[in-house]
Amino acid sequence: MTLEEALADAPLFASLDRRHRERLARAMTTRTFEADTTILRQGSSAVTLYLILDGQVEVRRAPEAGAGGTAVLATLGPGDVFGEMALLDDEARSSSVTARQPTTCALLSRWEFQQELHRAPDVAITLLGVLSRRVRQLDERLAQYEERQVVP
Amino acid sequence: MNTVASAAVAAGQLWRWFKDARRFEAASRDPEGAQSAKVLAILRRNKDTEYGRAHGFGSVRSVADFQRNAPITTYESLAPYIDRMAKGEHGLLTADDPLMFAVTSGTTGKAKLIPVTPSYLSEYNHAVQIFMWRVVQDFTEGSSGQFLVTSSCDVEGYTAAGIPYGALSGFIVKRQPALVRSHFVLPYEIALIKDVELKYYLTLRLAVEAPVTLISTLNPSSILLLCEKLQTHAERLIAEVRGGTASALGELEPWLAKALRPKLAPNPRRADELAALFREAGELSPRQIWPKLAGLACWKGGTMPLYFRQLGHWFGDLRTRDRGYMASEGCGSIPLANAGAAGALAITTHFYEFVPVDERERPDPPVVTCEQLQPNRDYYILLTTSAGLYRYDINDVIRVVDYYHDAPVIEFVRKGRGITSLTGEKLAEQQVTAAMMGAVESLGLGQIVRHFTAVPQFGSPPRYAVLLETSDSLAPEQAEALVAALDRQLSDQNVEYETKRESQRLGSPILRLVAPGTYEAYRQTRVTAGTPEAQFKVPHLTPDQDFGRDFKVLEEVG
Repeated sequence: MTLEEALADAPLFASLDRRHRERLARAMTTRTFEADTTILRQGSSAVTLYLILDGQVEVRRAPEAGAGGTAVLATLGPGDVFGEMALLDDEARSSSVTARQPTTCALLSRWEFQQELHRAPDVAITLLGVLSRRVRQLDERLAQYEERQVVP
Repeated sequence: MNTVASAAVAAGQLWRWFKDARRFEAASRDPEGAQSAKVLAILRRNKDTEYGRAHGFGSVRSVADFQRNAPITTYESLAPYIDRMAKGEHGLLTADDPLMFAVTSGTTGKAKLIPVTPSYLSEYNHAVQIFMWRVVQDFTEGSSGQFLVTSSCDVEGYTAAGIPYGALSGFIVKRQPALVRSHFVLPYEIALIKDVELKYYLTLRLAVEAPVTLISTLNPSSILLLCEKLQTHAERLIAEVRGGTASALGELEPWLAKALRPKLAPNPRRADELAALFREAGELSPRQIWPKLAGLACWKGGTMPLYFRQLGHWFGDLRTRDRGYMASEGCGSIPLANAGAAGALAITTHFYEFVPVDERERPDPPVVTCEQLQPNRDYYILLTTSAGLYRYDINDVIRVVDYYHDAPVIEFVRKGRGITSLTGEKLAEQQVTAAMMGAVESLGLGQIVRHFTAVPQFGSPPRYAVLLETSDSLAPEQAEALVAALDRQLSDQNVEYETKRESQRLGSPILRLVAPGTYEAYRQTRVTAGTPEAQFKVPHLTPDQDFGRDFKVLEEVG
């Protein structure tokens, strides 16, 4: 599968027309991570978005960077993106991401990503949906956690 | 210079920054190729030097050739060449002669001299210009004002051959084009002041009148000190701004005072503004006296988080860009974003190799190049630069935390020598920093810790003595709680520490509360002894058991 085809299959980028996808594909680089590799670490600097082309990753979050007791937030596979939040708010990585199996990703830097947001508002709208789903997932997990804390 | 000429010069400067940035951008898509080209260019230029001939630089055609021909070096292994260069011999490590020697600080031992050749200066400036280009792009509102950039004295003395030695920061500032320097609040002469108190006062004296939009200094503790001195001297500053005077000039050597005096003129309007702010708030807040301040640039990683966190008191959530992994020995990274302390490996600046930390003790440890780095694994970094450092082990540990195109984004983790081990616990400096931060946070002690240093203490049982200077006095029960919390946090940070504590092979830490001003006096002592002020760092962990022996200890707890 070419990068362009992978972009067409990825929900975040599927609404882009061919010209936009071609331009994005040219800007992206690919990288393969071995299983169990920590790809991103919560609290560290962030300049790149990752689109999974092949493999699977686990997204974990600790109450504070470096603290123990991490919770699994999501398991992501081909077509999913991670690392996109830090590209919008210039904050550190909000969670850690580990490859569960050999995983190949296409990488897109913040600046090219933001250029694309300006060029193609559709991406921004789709991204809002992705972020909204993430917030919803977090809310659900928080609710489950609070239920467990209630003394019967 | 008329307006048109100024604009042309400014455009020329921006064009140079842009060209450097564009070269780096292109290289970030082929770091392996860029690095190979970089090292071959360095070796080609220096193939006829004594070191180059001894290690067959002339026959090197690839990175692998270089790794086969040249050994990994340390300062000690290159020192015989550098000592001869300092005496005036030519063509030893570098084809071009040094313009000066950069002095690097060490917590102990003899200072190191790094040859600053024209080609090395060009490499270094290349990284600085990319950084500046990025800052100008991202802090657009900051480019309309002036930058408060601190630096240290570049001429501490002269070698036997009459070559100056001192701080690289001062040398770089001095050699900036006039246009760039016109954007700096501080004239070069401020870097020449050796007395820390005087230097900070005069820095503020000039800065309070300037439209400061960016504060840039390597160490965040320098910014904190500036903020504190701003309060200490608020009324004096206001009075001297009004009168166009600076009584501190009287304490300088006459030629230095003469150079600075033209910068001063009566400014009653500014004095009124400052006085009004002081009356209203009871202090001179840096955000209020410099309302157009767009950002800060300082180190945020390694042992700096303790100080960086305290900046919030003065600057709130003001954007802060890390200054990158840089030392007199070379530049390692170019920060691209404000979050965190990482930057893209400076692949067009020097050549870099890496040794995995967990394999360093092997008889023949693997050495990898940038394209082989694994994310979130710790490596020692080796530098090859135009300063004549070849495969130089600077004893720093870095980690890849992200990628910019194909270039790794690295952050400084710690000094290799920052590890101490009384009973095999292998405690690292950044673990001590994190433990102290965690301890004060858990006790709600806020920003009471000004400075501290953990010192290994052999005895029965061995333990860590923690010298601590606080901004406020600690009640006895608070001090005891701090010892206990620190002990817990160290266990959380380091599993071997925990094991050793449980088995009582390691005793609980003891706190030695030192007199206020102790670390400021220590800073002055180090600067007087030749440490460039901008490079001064308080060690949070030192293997030197004599560290702080002359500190005035007020109380011992634990």
